[in-house]
Amino acid sequence: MKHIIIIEDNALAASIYQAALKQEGFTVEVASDGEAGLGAIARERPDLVLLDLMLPKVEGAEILRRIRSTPGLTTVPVVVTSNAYTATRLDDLWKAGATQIVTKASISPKNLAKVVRDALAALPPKD
Amino acid sequence: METPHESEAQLLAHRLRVLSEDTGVAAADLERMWLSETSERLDAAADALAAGDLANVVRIVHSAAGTSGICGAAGLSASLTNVERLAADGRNGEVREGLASAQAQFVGLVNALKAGLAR
Repeated sequence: MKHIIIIEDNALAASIYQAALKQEGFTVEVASDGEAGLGAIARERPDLVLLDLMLPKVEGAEILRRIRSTPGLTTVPVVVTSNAYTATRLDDLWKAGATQIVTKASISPKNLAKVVRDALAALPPKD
Repeated sequence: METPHESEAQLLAHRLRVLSEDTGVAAADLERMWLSETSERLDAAADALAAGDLANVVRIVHSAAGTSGICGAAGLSASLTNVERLAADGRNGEVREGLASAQAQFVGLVNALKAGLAR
């Protein structure tokens, strides 16, 4: 069973994403700030991270950079969720290694689950 | 003829039903969460503004805008995003006005939701 960590300080968004992904058969843990998220990632080595950008303690973009510079996590899919995109910020996120970027206000939970499934399916098989 | 609050309340109620179908979480629970989170954040933003902490206002209203955006309250979300921008630019007086306007919008939306439920 694939394990997903949601790093999201917005309790309503986290509840919606968690419920949608659990319905898809994933195990899900929620971290409500960046520091807790980094701890959960180090501890649990998830199959995928769903990452908000504007987070207390450690910003989402910084978390993405740290994930990508951690041996063993360089290829873990990271789906970024936010409503705060600018062209520059989008460019920075792609360069930092985002797997997919979605807009919270416009993506339905079903579509988000599909994005997650597709990101996991695109991974090379483990040896 | 519908007021803007009534139209937005209908969109919000519809979006909450869709979210409920997609997640299995009861629409009434989602509505309660939207109400309490938005109410708490508007109060917290007013407190942060009174304390002169505009960086915190940015963070709080950004989160509140996200909550309302997800739930289909696009007008309120847009107003809060505008407050976020004003706060990020350090335009204190306009933040105060924008926040008061968003609070009034929230109250209107809640009242329209309740009226809709009553009907």
